[in-house]
Amino acid sequence: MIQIEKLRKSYGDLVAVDDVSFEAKPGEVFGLLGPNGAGKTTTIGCITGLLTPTAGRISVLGHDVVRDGVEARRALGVVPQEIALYDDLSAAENLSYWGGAQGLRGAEAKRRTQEVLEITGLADRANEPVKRFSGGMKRRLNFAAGIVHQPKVLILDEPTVGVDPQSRVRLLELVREQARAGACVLYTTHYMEEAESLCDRLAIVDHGRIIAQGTLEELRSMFGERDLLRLDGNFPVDACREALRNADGVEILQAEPNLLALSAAKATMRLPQMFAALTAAGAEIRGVTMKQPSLEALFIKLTGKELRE
Amino acid sequence: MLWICAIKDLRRLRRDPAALLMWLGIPLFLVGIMSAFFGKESPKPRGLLLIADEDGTFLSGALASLYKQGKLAEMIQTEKVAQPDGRKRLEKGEASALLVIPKGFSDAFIGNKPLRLPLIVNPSQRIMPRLIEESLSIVLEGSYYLQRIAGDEVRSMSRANRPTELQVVEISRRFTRIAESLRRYTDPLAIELQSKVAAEKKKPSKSFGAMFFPSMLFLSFLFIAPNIAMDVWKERTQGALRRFVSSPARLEFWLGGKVLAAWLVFLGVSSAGLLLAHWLLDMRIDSFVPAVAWASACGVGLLLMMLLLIVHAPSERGAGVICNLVAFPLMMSGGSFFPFDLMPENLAAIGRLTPNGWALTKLQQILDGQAALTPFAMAAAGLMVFFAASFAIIGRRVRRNFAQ
Repeated sequence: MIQIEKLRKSYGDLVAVDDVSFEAKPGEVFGLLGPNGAGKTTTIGCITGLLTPTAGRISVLGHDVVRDGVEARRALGVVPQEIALYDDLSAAENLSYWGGAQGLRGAEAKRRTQEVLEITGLADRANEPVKRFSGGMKRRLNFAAGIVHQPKVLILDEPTVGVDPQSRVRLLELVREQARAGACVLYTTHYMEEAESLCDRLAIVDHGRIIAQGTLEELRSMFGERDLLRLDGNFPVDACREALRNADGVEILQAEPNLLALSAAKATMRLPQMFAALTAAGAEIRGVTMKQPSLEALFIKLTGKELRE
Repeated sequence: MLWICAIKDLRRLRRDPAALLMWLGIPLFLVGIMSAFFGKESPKPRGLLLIADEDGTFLSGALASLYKQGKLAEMIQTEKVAQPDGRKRLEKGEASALLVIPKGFSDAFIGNKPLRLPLIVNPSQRIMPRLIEESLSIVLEGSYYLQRIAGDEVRSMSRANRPTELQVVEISRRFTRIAESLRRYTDPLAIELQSKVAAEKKKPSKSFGAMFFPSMLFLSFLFIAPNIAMDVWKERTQGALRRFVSSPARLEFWLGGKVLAAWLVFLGVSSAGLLLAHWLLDMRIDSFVPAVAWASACGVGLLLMMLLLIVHAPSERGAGVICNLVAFPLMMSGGSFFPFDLMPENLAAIGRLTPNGWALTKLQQILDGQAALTPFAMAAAGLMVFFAASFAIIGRRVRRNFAQ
């Protein structure tokens, strides 16, 4: 399992991660959800020993990553955001090398290489140079290199970036299999739907801090039984705020000249009333999107902005 | 783990056969070219001396024929010309010098009168005109003494213009008598000397190709080292280096594997190159194994030097620029492009102080069998200290900054 207590990482005056604490358990997928630059990769860098924390404590299976780094890393499998493979080596050679770096040798290395090639559906392309692979195949091999040594703790840093839908489904299924097999999986993403479908527990990160944490149900309940309304058009921001101030049960989450995000209970019933108030305030509404309570709605509620790539 | 890392790098090198062939090919290709052009012959510089003999006498002919004798004939080719034609050819740079023997040379010599003997040299050449000038002054000095000792005989020979065989015998007899009479002045005193001749250190003459080859080997190393060194930037950009740092394996194995793989490449290039140079260019290799060991170790030294520089570069492009900025001046000044033997001595002295120049000088000493044990052992120890220090610095830099 991974335990992080009050982690802080700063570069001079810039604080990349601040007071982050969470715990990921064996057999579960723990998600770190947040926009780019929120501090997810820095957190992972500290866990994997690439970065030294400024303050706080991280332990992997009880091994402190700073004081007992080698033992901590022995338990880790890392699937980085970039395709960290050698293009000019074959899939099997890559896996053999990364297995070797994790301590696999001889017949065991060969057996595991073959196994993960089959698991990831790359067995028939085992001896081809990686540079001939499609983007999705490279992603799967990147994942395979992270699990070749059967790690007890698997860390995936946005592993589905730039992946076609078919390969994404396959990859997510592979991640679930690892958790079902008993591994503790830490998964970072900025895709809401991915986090919702995959993670057992989540921490929402923004500007280096965790702003909400819990199971999906716990997080949804923070938003309540309210709908999320997204209005596109032209909005005089101050006038719109004033117009909706007295509208009962309507909350403004985000107000920009071309976008208005609102939360409201039973929003469909209130639409005519809200439209009338906004139009009277000089707004020009060109489109309306309504969403049921979701992580995205929660993220907007907590941060006052949409989660974009 | 070291071997796993080295195998990975060797496999990657093998997958880029064009680069590998080019690295192996530079010295081998140049050996082939040199072999084809120069074969196993030593370079023999030859100058052309144009002689305008306006006197046309026996003595003027004898002076001209001096350059057709012995060692001078091997280096200087003579050709009789008319003075105006000779001057034109000299201006075109077709000859090393023009010697004008003016009319009245013979009479002036016999009459022991002063005479100007113009020698016009080609200013664009350095060695040959000097050689001709020196040899001419020696001849003229000799002729002065000949005049003093055997003036009568010379005059009688000159009067005959083209002496008969009988006259030659008579003149020879008179020369012998003069020599006999001078013996008591010229022969040394009868002192018995015990002499011990020290074994002469032989500096073997080299073919043109053999002279160039060690330089070409280091030229090849200066292409290989930056290429292999730049691979660390590729690994960094790909994220493979960060992934390695996240594994329990020590970073020293990653770096050591890279150095080991590079050493095997340098070993292959130097072994193949030296053997071919020995075979095709008749290059002397006094001690093959030490030569290959030294050359390949120096290749590793160049690699570590490049690594030291590029892990401190701010970007991959910056690293490439640094490599070129360092490699090319080293090639030009360190004897890797022009051998030290062909460089002006002051430039060669500076070049020998460059890392590749220093390594090349030592390699040359090993090849010629002139490497003394103690200085060589000290040089090898110095190289090892550099290996250890640079390895530690690179490892520290990669771990703390570069890999992130």
